[in-house]
Amino acid sequence: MDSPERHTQMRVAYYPGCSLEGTAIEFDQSCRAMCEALGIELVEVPDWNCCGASSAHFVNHDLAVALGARNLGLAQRTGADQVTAPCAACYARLKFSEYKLHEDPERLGQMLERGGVDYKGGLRVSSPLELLVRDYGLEALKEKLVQSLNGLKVACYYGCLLVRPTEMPSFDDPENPRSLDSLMETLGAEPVDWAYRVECCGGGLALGRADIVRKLIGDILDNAVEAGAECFVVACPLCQGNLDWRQTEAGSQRGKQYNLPVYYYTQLVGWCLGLPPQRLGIEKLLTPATTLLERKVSGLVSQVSEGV
Amino acid sequence: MADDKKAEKTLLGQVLALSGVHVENCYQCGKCTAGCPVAFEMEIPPQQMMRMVQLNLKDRALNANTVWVCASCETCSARCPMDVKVADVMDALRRIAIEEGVPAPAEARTMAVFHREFLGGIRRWGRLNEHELIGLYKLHTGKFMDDVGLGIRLFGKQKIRPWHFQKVKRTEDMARLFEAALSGEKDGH
Repeated sequence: MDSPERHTQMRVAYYPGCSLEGTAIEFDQSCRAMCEALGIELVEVPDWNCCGASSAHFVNHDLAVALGARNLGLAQRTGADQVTAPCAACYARLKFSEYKLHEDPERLGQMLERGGVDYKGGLRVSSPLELLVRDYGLEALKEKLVQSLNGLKVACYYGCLLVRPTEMPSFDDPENPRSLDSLMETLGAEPVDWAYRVECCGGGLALGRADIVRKLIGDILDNAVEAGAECFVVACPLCQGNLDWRQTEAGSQRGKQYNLPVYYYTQLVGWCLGLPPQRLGIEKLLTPATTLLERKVSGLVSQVSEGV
Repeated sequence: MADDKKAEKTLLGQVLALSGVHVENCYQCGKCTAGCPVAFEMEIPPQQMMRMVQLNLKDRALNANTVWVCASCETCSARCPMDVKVADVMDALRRIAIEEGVPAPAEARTMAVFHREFLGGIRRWGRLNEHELIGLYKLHTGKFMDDVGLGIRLFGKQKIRPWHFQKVKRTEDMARLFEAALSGEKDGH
């Protein structure tokens, strides 16, 4: 069913987004490295613009739809039939634009024309997580793995924008998503059962209201630790930043020391594909993240999966 | 027609025009507030905001810190049994506050500055430059010492690279797109 030929032919438009050029650069590095190793060709959307994130729809919905749609128009020029966006916020915004495209096509057409682009619809917007789980397939991925996470206890943190807004069709369940858990099981990790998987980390409040973020991530950290997690796996630069960078602050507020690395799933997949840690940017995570992985490494995945 | 005009003048009508959400469907079950991660910080929690929209209590609704501390996580919209898109209502209320010149309450002002500078950056360059946003945010809020240690650590990891500045090829296209999007502002839908 999953012939390797088909995978080598996967060609997808790639929308990195602003964070992946900055504070989430390791998400970009690891996503590109992972896709290359899997034979998925990523063609960067030429001259892409910011998706507008929360700020655009916070003050003007038309602007939010137009910013996303301009990127979709540019993505279509690559000839690919799908565009993939690693950042959960970009993914949600692009998907939202595609979804709202036909609400007022005339007005949108005007806005896009000013932006130098034409777009009538037809692209599929995906997250690379969806690409892996639904298109590539976990069985096919398993065949490519060279090492296992060997029982690493991981809290799969989906956050908000991978599964919401729910008015749009989604590849996973909004209240009880499973895609990250299935992916982690494939890598030989043990996802813990915990309650905060779709709770909000505070997202864009990070700069303006860090006090709120510290409270929210403190609750998330406590619940993950209670469930026995050794680390987090995330799919969003805001989730990663808030949980990783403010972990010490949240800990000192509660008189605790957490030390839970916060990995992007692309880093963990890349690690199990045997890619060098430097290519995955694992050293760029603030909470020390390499030692835990090194400790878990052992032999081939096939041996592990026989034991499970 | 005259009735339509009258309806648009009410807060309920304004919200409907901007968001397409029928807030009158809310029956105050409180599920939005129960799931809201930042309700603890809001002067008026989401379900009470819905009630205020129904009752056209505009001043109270817009002067609360609620719309500015909303994290836009969409949990409220996802869980509403009456399909009231609460987060979309928050967006509409925020837009009304901005257009009608209602300032954000003092402790929520930082978020108003954040969003303004975020959009300003995209309008200028087409892409967000995080270091520019941080700089302008600090300049306009006076919070120069916040997160300095964190900034240094991120710089050390080369996650903040002041020498890396990104923009689209034709920044004038972005300005025109913004202009076109914002010019329809008064029309509603």
